[in-house]
Amino acid sequence: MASKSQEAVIGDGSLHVGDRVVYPNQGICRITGVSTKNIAGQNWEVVTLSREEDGATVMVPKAKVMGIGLRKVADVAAIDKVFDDLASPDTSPQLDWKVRHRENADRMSGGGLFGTVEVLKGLHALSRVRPLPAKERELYDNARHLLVGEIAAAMNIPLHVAEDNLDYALWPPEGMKRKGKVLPPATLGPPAPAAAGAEDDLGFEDEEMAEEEAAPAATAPAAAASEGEEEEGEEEAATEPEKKPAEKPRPHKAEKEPHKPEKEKPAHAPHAPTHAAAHPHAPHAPAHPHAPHAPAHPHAATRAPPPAKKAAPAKKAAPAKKAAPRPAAKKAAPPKKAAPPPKAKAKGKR
Amino acid sequence: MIRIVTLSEFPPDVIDFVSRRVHAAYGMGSELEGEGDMPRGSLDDEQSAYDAVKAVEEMDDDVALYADDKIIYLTSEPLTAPEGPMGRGPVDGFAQYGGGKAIATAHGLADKGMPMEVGLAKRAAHYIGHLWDLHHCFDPRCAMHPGWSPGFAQYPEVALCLFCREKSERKIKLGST
Repeated sequence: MASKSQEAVIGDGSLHVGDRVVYPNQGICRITGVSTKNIAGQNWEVVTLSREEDGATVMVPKAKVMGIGLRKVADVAAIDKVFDDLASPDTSPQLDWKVRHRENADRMSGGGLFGTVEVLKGLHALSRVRPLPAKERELYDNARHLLVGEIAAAMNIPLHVAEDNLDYALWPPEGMKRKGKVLPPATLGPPAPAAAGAEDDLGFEDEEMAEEEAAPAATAPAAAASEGEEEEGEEEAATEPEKKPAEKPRPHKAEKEPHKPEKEKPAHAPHAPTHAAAHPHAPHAPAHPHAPHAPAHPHAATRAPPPAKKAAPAKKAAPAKKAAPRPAAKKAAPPKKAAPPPKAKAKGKR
Repeated sequence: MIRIVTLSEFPPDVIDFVSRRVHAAYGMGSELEGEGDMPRGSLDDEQSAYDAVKAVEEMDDDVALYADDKIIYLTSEPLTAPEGPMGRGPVDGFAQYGGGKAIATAHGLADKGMPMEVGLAKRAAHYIGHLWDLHHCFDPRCAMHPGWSPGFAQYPEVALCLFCREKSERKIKLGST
């Protein structure tokens, strides 16, 4: 039922059988042929591609080749521009998650090289301000994967060398230069030009000062919360502001006390210090024992704050159960004290 | 199974530490497979460092690899890599992405003020991660964080972040015999 033609014109004529192309969101593929397939009683002319990474076969209707964003692998000059872009100083990350999500989805589905670079760079900049939610972490990894694959294919270098070079631009080592200009070496802290006034979009806005004073161990149950919850929490923060007051009387605060002075700053204070607690760079030793995978996951604490704020609005017994054993371990408060207050509160709200 | 092959002399307790840490990070068996030598042909033009890519490709060993086996070569020699778009940067190892072989060096760990066993274990875990298709991670506590970043020495734990751990577990499941 299938017939092949090697001389077929593909797309706008710039693609040929044997070319290496980039399939949006899939990576580097090689055009293996054009054939006619009978599908559901109709003859379809399809372009067959083989994904280089795993040999998977992809078939695209010939008429849609240009529409889906199939393009040739970038040339060396384009890759050079990519590195110029990556090595240029960080722009402030997009803090509005809705805008960010829409922009990144458009860029990835578009399949453009520079769109992928923008996604990677934007999320990289954001990751230095706050931990990425699960889906964005995955997007970051996908963007990195696509970019590394294309750099390696374009420059004909091993994938590992391509990724190292990509990170020489994103995380410049000491003395790294780009076109004669010394790049500032990577630091662990968040970049200086963090945008002020957009804190509400970071997902931490509902942790108010008053709540801090009244709630010692809020981060403890958060350590056990899932990443999905974190992202949901972010969305809730944007869509359900009326829930905020309900969180105030949470009875946990031990881990947050060290941050009190920072949170007492005016609302428009730079947010970087506020996120030090949530960021991986913050001291984390106390949170380790509570991580879900204690020995191998030092990051549970990283994700602590956002789920914490989510745990409270639920006003259910579940967070209280998780919280109960923690204060004992931290010696912040006896377990029995930590457990009852949430119940009392839940009753009050009902 | 993660198979460790030493290409330089290491104290037994260092190899033992590396083996245990790598096992903890990936949840896979890990054992010392044997010893070997760096391929002479992989010395760079200045004869001062070994080309990590060539070294892995030209390694002459008879270690049998099964579907989910990975080999990590440990050396104390300085390594280099082909020049890329950013020029030459620090190189502390090399891995065949999604492949079976990687190399990590203990060279330069003293400059970072890290104990050799900790630094080597972290580098080994890093390059084994690349064998499972893990990319670099922005989290400085993760073993997949770039080795030249200040986070490498600041967080000596040999552990993966949640994302990298889950991704490696998925890959390990897919690759298991």
